[in-house]
Amino acid sequence: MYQHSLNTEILNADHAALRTVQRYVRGPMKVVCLAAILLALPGGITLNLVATASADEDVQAQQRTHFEKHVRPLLVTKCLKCHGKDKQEGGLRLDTAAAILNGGDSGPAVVPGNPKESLLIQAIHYDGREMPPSGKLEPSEITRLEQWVSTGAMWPDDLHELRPEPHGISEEDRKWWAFQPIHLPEVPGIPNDTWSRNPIDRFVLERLNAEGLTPAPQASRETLVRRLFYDVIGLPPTPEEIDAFVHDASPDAWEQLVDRLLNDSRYGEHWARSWLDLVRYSESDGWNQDAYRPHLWRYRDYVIRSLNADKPYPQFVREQLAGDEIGGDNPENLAAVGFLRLGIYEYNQRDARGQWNDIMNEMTDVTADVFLGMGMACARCHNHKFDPILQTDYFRLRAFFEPVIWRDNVTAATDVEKEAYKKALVGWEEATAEIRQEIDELLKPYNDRKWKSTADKFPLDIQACFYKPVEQRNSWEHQMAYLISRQFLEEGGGPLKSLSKEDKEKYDGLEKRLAEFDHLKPAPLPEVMTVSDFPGAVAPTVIPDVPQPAEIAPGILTVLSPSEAGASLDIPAVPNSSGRRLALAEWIGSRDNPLTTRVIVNRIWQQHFGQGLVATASDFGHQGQLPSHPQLLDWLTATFVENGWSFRQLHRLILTSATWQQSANHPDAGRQQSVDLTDSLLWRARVRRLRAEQIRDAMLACSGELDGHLGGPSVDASEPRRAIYVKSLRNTPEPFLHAFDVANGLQSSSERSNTTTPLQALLMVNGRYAIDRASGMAERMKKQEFVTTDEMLTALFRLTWGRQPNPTELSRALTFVVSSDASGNPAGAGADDDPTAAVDMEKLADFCHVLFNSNEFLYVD
Amino acid sequence: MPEVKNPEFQTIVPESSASSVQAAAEHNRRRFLSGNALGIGSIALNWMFQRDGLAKEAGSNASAAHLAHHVARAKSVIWLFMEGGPSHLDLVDPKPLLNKLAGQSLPDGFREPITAMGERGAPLLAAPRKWRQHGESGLWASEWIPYTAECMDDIAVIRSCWTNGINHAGGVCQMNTCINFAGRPSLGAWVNYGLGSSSENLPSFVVICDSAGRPVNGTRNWGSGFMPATWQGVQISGSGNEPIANLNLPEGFSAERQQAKLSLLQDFNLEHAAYRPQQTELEARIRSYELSFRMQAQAPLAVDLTSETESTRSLYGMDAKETETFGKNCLLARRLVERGVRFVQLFHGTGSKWDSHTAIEANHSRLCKAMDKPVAGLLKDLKQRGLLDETLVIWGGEFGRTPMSEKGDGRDHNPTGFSIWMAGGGVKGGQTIGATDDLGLYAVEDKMHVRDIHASILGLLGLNNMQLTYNHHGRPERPTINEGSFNRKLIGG
Repeated sequence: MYQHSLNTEILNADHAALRTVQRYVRGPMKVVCLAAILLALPGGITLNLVATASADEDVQAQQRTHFEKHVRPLLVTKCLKCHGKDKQEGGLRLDTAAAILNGGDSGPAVVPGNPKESLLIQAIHYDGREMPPSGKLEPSEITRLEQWVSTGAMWPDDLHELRPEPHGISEEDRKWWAFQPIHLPEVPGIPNDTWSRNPIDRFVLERLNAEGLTPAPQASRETLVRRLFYDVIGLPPTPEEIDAFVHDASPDAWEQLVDRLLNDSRYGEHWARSWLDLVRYSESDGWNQDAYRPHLWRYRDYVIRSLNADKPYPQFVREQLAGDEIGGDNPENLAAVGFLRLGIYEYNQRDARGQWNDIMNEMTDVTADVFLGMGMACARCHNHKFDPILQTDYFRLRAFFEPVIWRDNVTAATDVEKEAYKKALVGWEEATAEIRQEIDELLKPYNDRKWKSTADKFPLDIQACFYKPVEQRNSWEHQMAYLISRQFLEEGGGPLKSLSKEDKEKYDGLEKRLAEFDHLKPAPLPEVMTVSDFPGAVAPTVIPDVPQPAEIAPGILTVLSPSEAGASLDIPAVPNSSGRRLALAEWIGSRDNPLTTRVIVNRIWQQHFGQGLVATASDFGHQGQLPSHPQLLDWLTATFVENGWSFRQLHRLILTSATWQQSANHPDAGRQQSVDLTDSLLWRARVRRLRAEQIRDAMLACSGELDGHLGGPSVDASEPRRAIYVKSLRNTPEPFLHAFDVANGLQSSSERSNTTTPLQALLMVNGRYAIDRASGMAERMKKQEFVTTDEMLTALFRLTWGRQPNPTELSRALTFVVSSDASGNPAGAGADDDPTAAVDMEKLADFCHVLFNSNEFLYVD
Repeated sequence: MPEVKNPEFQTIVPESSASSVQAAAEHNRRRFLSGNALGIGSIALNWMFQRDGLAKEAGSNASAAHLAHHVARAKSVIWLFMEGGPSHLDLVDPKPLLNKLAGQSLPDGFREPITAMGERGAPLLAAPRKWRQHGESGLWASEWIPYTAECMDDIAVIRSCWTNGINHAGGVCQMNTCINFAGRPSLGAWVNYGLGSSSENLPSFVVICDSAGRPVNGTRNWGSGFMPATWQGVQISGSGNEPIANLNLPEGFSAERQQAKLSLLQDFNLEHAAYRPQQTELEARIRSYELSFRMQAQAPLAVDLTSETESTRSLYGMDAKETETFGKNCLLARRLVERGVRFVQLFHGTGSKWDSHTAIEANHSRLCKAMDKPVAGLLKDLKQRGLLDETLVIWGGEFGRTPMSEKGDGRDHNPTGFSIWMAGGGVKGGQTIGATDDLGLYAVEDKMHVRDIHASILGLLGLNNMQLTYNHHGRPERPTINEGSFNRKLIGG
């Protein structure tokens, strides 16, 4: 904040000017003025305007717009070269608020509210000084700077320093930690270290020692096994699994269990979810109709399979960005590149140009968020205000996607499979040729009319793209034609909806005849939503709304290349494709990319600990947080690359560390918390609520209802399958999962919210889903053999809480479930052959319901 | 708690009206408050609702949130959302030239916009309305809204609105979230985040639809986008016996049975928390059960209209079949804001019913009839109770309709110029702001984009649209996407 004595004449003579000043002098400060915060009044009375300021936010917003539109560009292009960071002619800098106020050798450059007194304004009038020396500013430009000064010389408080443009990347920018090459740091040696189990711990302990903190003791075996199961496979351990580990005396029992779970296919089902959140996976269109996308689940299964196969990360990246370019007809790759189809889309839009623009932007944004961990959306409209990302960088990234065309219902099968299918289809084709021709003839006039009426409704230039022969179109024109064709297929329920009554009957009859030959048809091949590149000319990528825009070639962030010219990438030759996305994927997945690997390693850490070493997992820029353990992050990253980019190895390293195995209870928690409130330094385990999917899956597992088969089309929420297989619709989220903060699939999400609301309590206490699972768990007890009621109740505790109840808990439970007869004696209490006969089943279900509602079930230590 | 204006809810649960369920809930509530092994009673309620948005999220500017940026004029908002796009040309923006040129094509000098249905060169459609000026201010209103017309001195009609969304999905999305592309928080969520809850027992952002249908884009119209779900709207049902999902005891469960369960749960949870000191989230969850009991007691009272007089019901049109449904929702809206609910959104014509591509005469005369009296009743009732000053009432759809015809007797969507109106909450009534061209196709004077509309609503609530920020993916996100300004003409500036 800048203190400056405002000339009292303004106060007395010009009330309007005072109001102008006041606009920037207010409450929780977001905009500061070069002028005063405190106004010194004659007689020494200080008027604190913070409390009394009037509110003219509209004017303030206009001022900001004026600054951004007119003042900033002038300062940057006309002044900074001689009065910036590198050079200060006359001792003057014009790149920060303080520098402008302090001025140079001749005094303050600007007197807010007083253009005549301001040296800057005098100079641009060539009054005394002549600035800029290269030529006088345009009269309109002079007026704008005067206006800026006279209205208080507004300076946004989030603007620390103006950046020179357009070659706006300074050496300082390149020094940002996340852009530095990754090297393997030396693991600290710590004297008398009896705690550490692997290098992770030594980095952690070094930091704890430095802060005067100590790690928590290791958690109990019961606690660890429950934590491990939820962390690795997303499901609770069974009592038998708990026992097996707790009683396993072998020295590597833990390592063995870790390996077993990492090789369990349920690992992929659990960890895929975090990836699906990142890539905004949902299975519906997300607009008005919100139509279900029936083939999209193949992308979800691709992710699960990839994780279970421990695919090296660069391959995982390559398949999703350029699967079609590397794999030809490999069905897995076609599903993988469905990544570029996961955004929202619906046919119903006459503004095809605007719609495709939105789609391209969305692809660009999500790619930067997911793989680079840098929000780039700001740079779509202007150079990034906080990070060294240029507007051209944004469009360089977007240019990789320029030739993309969408392909629907693409057969996802190998050439061999397709050949076999074609052969098998011959019989059917011959038998039905005549009928199919009749159908075609019947529909032709309707289709012709609908094509015309559909195209007619689009703007004329878009229609022109549509009527152009495909071989003459460029990629953008083809995209426009594609959007029209989707409208043709889907608007009004498709072309068949317009058949006359008579023709409809005819058509139905033909279809019926056709169906009689269905037995000759081979089973259909699977289909996917995917993309390709347009094989013809690629439309130029340009920055919109720029007069005479230059074409922008695909390329990387300037700050990551030695020079702006070096930002272009070599594009590999790929048959029938531009090769652009493959070039992008190779760059993202290269060892030298300082962002990609740090970002993914941090994401893995984040899932294991509830917070990343960089707490803002999708923002490694200046608005994000700095790494809590930068050396550890680099050590893990370098080690991850050395280990062949294997997720499994990385998980193993983390899970076998003493850091991960700490207890959530620290004997000195109160004091340690006063040093590190949020456990960022890793001195104990976090108590974490289960994610939405884990709550649902765990209830199904406890009730014994869980259908554990892997993969396949998504199912209704009522099916007892894992939540990852439940159909997800953007506009009608599944109520149970939604209540517990499931990701909405609208934007990339790197971190689940973790809310605690009364609506969740109502859902768990009164909602049918938990009640039904509780009944299921009670019923399950009937099928098992227990000697005593105590034993049965203990089993329920162990299923849900993962531990033996203490005597008080057990006795409370017993009192709750055992019904009393009229004499007040508990029926059948004590030893009996069938405890389920002794207890009231309704009460047993209620007890299970209480367990599901309990914090010990909903949270993991 | 807001100032209590109605003696009916000075006590949390009136003993006389408490059903056995409510009594049981209250009993448990007291147990929670007294059975206070962990000292959790001192945890502020607001904290419960808000902590996730503030403490947990790295993104929030906690110091700015919950501090109004300047003096608020409005404390709460009732947004009457006419879904589908009502015709400004037939309600509040008379265009004599339109009737004169009816049947002709758009004259030279009017650029033909991209229309949603793409009917090119369609002739202009007359708006055969009787128009009259009303009140001391002499504001124009058509014969289709005779009751609203009586309130024109309290209403500021903004005739110069425009939006980017040309179809319903984009338009409804933008009117609710400020942009025509899915993913951002709704305005109600921003208000909730910025001002926090002012009701102890009810959600602070409530949505009521006038039919079982769902509005275009579904629940994301009141979603919280990239912010935590804490701030999203909660849909309540004005009809039926369960205003909020899962509010009632499950069928076949007695209050005693529920109480026994909750009592055991409480024992387990307190012990669990006792072994895990300094884990505030566990205490928060224990408290969330307590809050749910309060909601169970209070929500049914909020929607119970039995205490409303005949004259009140009739004021809202609840005594006539065509106005009964929306009249009831408007009355519910008043009862909710009385109880401190911050943001109430009523969808009228849920599912694009105002969309009148054909036969606009039949469509609009029916919908206006169903809407007009309840809306006027709400304004009059708020005014007579002294609530209008602090309650901002907004009326409008996602866009307006074209002066050009569609399919002969309908009108297409018009995103380039349309009207909404505001009343109460510090708005200076009896004025029009801005203007469309002579045919009502484009906004031309004092144009207000949806961003300006949202900035103005926030401004009336004391929030500065540029100062309210939430960090997400490296951007300080603002409710109006870094643009938009408060049109101070609304407050007579």
